[in-house]
Formats: sequence, C-alpha cells, structure tokens
Amino acid sequence: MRRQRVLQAEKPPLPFQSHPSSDTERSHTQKGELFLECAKRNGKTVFTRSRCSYPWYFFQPLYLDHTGCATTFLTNPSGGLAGGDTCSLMATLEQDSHVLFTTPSATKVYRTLEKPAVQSVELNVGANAICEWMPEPTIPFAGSSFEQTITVRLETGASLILWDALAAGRIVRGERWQFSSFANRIRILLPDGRSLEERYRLSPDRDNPCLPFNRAWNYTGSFFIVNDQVPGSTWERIKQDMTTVIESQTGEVLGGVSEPSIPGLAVKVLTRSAPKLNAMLERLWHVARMGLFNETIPALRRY
Amino acid sequence: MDTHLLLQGFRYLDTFFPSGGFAFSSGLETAVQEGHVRTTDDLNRYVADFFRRGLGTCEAVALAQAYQASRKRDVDGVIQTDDALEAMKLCRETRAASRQMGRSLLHHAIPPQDGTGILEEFSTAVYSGRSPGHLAVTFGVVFQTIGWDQQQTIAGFLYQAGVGFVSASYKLLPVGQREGQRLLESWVPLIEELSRTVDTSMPLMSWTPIQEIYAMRHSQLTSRLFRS
Repeated sequence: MRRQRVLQAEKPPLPFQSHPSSDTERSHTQKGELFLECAKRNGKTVFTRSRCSYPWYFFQPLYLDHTGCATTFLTNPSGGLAGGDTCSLMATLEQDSHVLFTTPSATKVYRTLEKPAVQSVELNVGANAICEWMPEPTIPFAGSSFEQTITVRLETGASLILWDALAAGRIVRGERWQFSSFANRIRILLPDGRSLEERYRLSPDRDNPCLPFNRAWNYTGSFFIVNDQVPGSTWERIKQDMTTVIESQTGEVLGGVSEPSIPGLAVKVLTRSAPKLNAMLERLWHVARMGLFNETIPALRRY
Repeated sequence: MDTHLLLQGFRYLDTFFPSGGFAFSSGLETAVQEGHVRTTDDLNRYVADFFRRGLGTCEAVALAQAYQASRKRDVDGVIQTDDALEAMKLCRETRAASRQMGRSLLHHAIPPQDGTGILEEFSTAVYSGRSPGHLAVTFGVVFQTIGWDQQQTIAGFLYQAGVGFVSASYKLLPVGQREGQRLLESWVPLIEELSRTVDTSMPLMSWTPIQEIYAMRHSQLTSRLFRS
C-alpha cells in the first residue's frame, strides 16, 4: 500500500476529469470515467494509479488465490445505465501483471426516449500479462438503447480471457427482445496487426425475432481466450475440454467452440436461464484457466 | 447489360463453376443432424435469418466495399476489407470455406493476357499471404472488373449462397426440387432488398449466433457430408 502511494506521487495527474462533465447534456445523465494502471510488485499485482468518477466505482484489489492476481469488482452505485449516460474505462496492465475484472451484478440498461447509454472499455495488456474480463450479463430493459465497445490490445505473450453476455431482457417478467437497440463491438488486437472482432447491432422492433427457433434461448454469451505464444496443441486440448463441457449440457445449452483468426479460441453459447449461463461460464472459465495457467478459478462469492 | 458481360458473370455464378461451394453447408448439416432444421419452413427461417443478419450485413457490405475500392484501383482498400472480414469470422471452418472459394474464383477469373489490373494486384496480395482472399471480397473485385454493377453483383452473390443452401438441403432434408425452387423464389425479394440497401459506409456486422454455433459444432459430427 505504501509503495502504491509513492508511485502515485511520482507520476503526473491523470487526464480524466474526476467530476461529471458540465456539458449540455441533461443534468441527470452520468459521465463516468475509470482509469487504472496495474503492475506486478513483489509477486502481486497492484494498482499503481487509479481514478474514477461517478457512476464508476471499483474495489481495491482482492487477492483470492496464491497467484498474486488482483481481482476488482467494478460497480455502478446508481443501479444501472440510463439514456445519455456515457461510461468509459481504460486500464493498462503492465508486463507480467494479472488482473481479474468482474462485476457484482448484471449491468442494467433502463428505458430511454432519446440518446443511448454508452459504455466503452479499453484494456491494454502488456507482455506476458494476464487480463480477465468477466462481468455479469447486460440486461437491456424494454425500450432501452445501449452501445458498448470493448477494445483489447495485447502485447506479445499477453493472455486474455474475456466474457460478454446478453440477456434478452427481464426474463422473469416475460420481457424478451423488447429493447430499442443494442450495439456491441468487441475487438482484440495483437501486436502484429491481426485482430478478432465481434460486432452487431440489434433492433428488435424491426428485426423481431432476434433469433430464429428462439422460444428457448434467453441468454447469449461470447467467450474469448487469446495468447499469441501458446502452442496449437494447447488450444486443441482446451477446445476438446470445452466441447466436453458444452456437450454435457445438451438441451439446456447450445454452444460451440472454434479457432478464430488469431491464436486462441472463440466460444458462443445460448442458454435458457441465467443460472445455466453462469454455470456454463464457470466451467468454461475453469477449463481456460487450467489449460493456460494450470490454475483453478477463484471463488468470487457473488451470490 | 452487355450480353458478353452477362454471360461471363453467369459462368462464375453457375454451379458448374469449380469454386468448391458444393462442399460447404454453413452449419446447416449440424442443424439438421441435431434436429433443429427438419422442415422446409425451418430451412427457410435458417437461411432468411442468415441473409438478414449475416450475409446481408457482413459479406454483402464487404463485397460492396471491395467493389468500390476496386473501382478506384485501391488494392490497399480491398485488403483492408478482406482483413476486416477475416477478423469477423470466428469459426475456423467458415473462414476456411470462404477463403477457399474466394481463391478458386480468383484463380479462374484472372485473364492471362492482362497482368496490370486491380484483379492481378489483389491476386498477388492473396497468393503472397498479404490478404486472406475471402469470397465476398473476391466477388466484389472480379465482378467490378468484368463490368457488373454493384447491386447486381451483391444480388448474384446472395443468390449463389441461396442456391448453395438449397443444394445442400437436397442431400440433408426431404426437400424436393419443386420446394427448392419455391424457396429460392421466396428469397428473391429479400435478396433484391439487401442488394439495393447495402451501405458501404457501414461497418461489417453480424448477428447469427445460432448458425455460427452450428458451424462451430460441425467438426464434432461423427459423420459428415459437408466440410462446414
């Protein structure tokens, strides 16, 4: 902790504002910014610099296992995102550091009549560092509009485990595919210029139904693991293990695993319920961690 | 359109053209084997959804961008679009199929007497490994070069994809030739709409999780007629 304070004092102020913007947007909209720099110090990853503004809030690192991985919960005390809100996160993981980002609950997006809620995430992962982005699903309420971009830049040997999940709506209320629009873009960039991208925009009013044969599927998730130095045989083994996990849930989960355009694996899953989605994520995550680092997943104790 | 150009385009669109398209089902084989596509109605939904949220918003846009870049003889622009399409294709089999068919088209489309055009530049980039050579992008360059307009080219590309699905369904489902023709006819208005409304300023986007999952699962099928 003392070392952290020293490091903060050595560096210039961070560029982000610490208070909501005073631009022309409606007064109740939120413009949150979160900035983190992470580095490995004495076997543990610490946050060397950080700053956030409402509605972002993050917990100081938790160390849930022996690896020195810094786990942080990203929270939004306002309860969710409304139209016009813009939240950005920029994190830099220095060489050999290891950070697990997660959230304590789903990201709720409220109905809006005007602008969409916007969230942008930028993760810069240094050589041989490990970044795990494991948030709870996004739940777009009826009439909501949301735009998300996640950009990850990986240096040589850096590892990424990234999960992104979408609920069709507030399922227990019978609300499915009733949001106004949902745009999502995930980009993973390697130092040699190659990239992976998932990008879509849904407008259920116009495109209903969003999924054919979709009476059963309420949740969709994408899981990516990437590292440009891992041999093909390792990916093949992880793929087989993930396939076994998915096949064990036939009927409850529809999923597939394949090799994307960059070294790694891409997994897509559809599930009927949130518990099934979470259970599937935990098992996929476990397989990824065991295959890449020979480590089990930490107990996040959310529920 | 000039009859010669028309026929030249027909040659590339014809099922006799050796693009290898007959070997791929875009996940349909998995969907059939797993019982999710059993009837003509199921097939229609599977393909129409694929047109609307996959081929129409991703491949057709890539084709149009490549077509426009080809018109300006901007091979870097073509390669950029090809790379963007490569990044979007998360499934190895789907990516390989698109690249193989693109290269076949490129191989047969290069006129031996002319070595200086955009087609040759793009071909050099593909065979030297600088560009993946996806089918949609190659279509854009080849058909721009032979003189088809952009809308016709996109319509031809989508129609060829529709023919591929119907052809695959003859082997996988109890679908007769009359039903196959009815399906193709029913997709024509959608193909026309998609080819007319493509916006080259839009980014490539795709939302076909079900088709994508079936394509990913294809390699695990115990018996396979198709390669994707």
